[in-house]
Amino acid sequence: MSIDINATPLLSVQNLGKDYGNLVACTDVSFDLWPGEVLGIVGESGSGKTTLLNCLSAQLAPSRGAVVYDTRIDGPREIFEMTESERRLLMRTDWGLVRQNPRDGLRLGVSAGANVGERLMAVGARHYGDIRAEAANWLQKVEIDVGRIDNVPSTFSGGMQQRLQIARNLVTEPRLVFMDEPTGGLDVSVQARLLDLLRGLVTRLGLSAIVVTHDLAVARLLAHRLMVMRQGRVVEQGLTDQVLDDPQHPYTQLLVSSILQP
Amino acid sequence: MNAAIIPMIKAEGIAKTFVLHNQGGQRIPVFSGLDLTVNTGECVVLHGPSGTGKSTLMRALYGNYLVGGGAILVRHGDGWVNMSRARPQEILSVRKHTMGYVSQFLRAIPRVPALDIVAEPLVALGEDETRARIRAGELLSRLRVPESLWTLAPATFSGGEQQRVNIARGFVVDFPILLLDEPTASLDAKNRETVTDMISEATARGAAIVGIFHDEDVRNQVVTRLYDIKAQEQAA
Repeated sequence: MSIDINATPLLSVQNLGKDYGNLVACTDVSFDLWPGEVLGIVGESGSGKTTLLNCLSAQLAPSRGAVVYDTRIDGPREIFEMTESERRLLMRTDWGLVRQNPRDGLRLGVSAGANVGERLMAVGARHYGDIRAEAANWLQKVEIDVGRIDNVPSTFSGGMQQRLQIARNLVTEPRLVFMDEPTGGLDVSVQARLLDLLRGLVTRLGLSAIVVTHDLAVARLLAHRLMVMRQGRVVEQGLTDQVLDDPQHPYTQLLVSSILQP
Repeated sequence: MNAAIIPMIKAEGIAKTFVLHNQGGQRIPVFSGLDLTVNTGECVVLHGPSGTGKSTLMRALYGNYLVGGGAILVRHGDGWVNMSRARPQEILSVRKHTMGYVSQFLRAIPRVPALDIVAEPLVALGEDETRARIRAGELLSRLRVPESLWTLAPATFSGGEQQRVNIARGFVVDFPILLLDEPTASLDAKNRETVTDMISEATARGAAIVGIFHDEDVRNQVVTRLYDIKAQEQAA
């Protein structure tokens, strides 16, 4: 019987911290992310989860600690010790970043097809017909009518824009995707559709992902493992359903007991 | 399948106390010093009045609740995994390959059709999606879930229909270990009988089963051994 436990973590985070002047935004964060694993980071606004995600995804230099990524070619490397161009290549090829507001992650002035095709061109695709076909293929996967391929995203609804952003990120087959409140600004019915889509894609593609959310229901549906943050620190972590059904830390108990049941 | 009887679960000296930090740190002891061994081909029924910790024990076996002491060893492949200490990915691996769980209520996923919910554990093991759906359909038919419902998400189903989807999902893979938390609670007589048959077939193929059944008829038909939490504690 194959028992799927891997020896090398895809991402290894050691004692990570970030200060803004005297303010400690996050500190003492350590964890390993394994291939195919989805990690949820939960906590209320101001708990430091977005700062942490920005450090992990190399958008923000941490004040201390290390983020080691298992690169395809050179094996484990500390991402802030890479050159700027190495890091950019990593972000274009191996990583995806889905922002809460799709307008921050899309280019609004170019067509939906170009938004998806652009990422392919960035990794070397040159044949126009192939790029267009792949873009159309991905629009289908995220349930956008292929007839809209030449429309600019500003003519799309919020839910469609978010799905387009996901297609743009996944088209290059990244190994690791960072998501910041991916269902944040959407209606509940649209959220459900997006969650189902994300869940399917993550499973089918064997992606690893780090998902920041304040919505525990989203975390339960998407994440294998949870990290609960409060005042910049991880107060509890473990298997998602264990953390949500048998929370140990007072803050997690408070979070779980505060959920409104419809 | 090897016909020799071997232990699949060995729980030793386990204890559980809930601590409610936001209610003055109130401590609710549920059980302590429990030992439980479950062998292949056995259906161990957790017994006793409500509030004695039957569901808590079952959730601990599944790694859903943490225990305060002791070890819960589960035979996984060629080795043992201690569910009370294992890393999340080890527990997920046990649940994927070794241990199925039918909870009292289906946690429906928005938009996902009943057929896919049932087929999912098979697909996760790498089974072809079409074949997994065929197997899922066989189970749903056997449990009398009308075919017209298969393509719908179960959120709008009746309690009994949801429960049958849940049972089908738990039985779609021939798991070596099955945990059943009142699977027949909201079923009519015919469906109760079907589930009873499915449980007996599972023990016959060598599955190790731990169950909670309030229905006396069902209990008497499937049980190979009763396990009383309170009596066990006093004996310990």
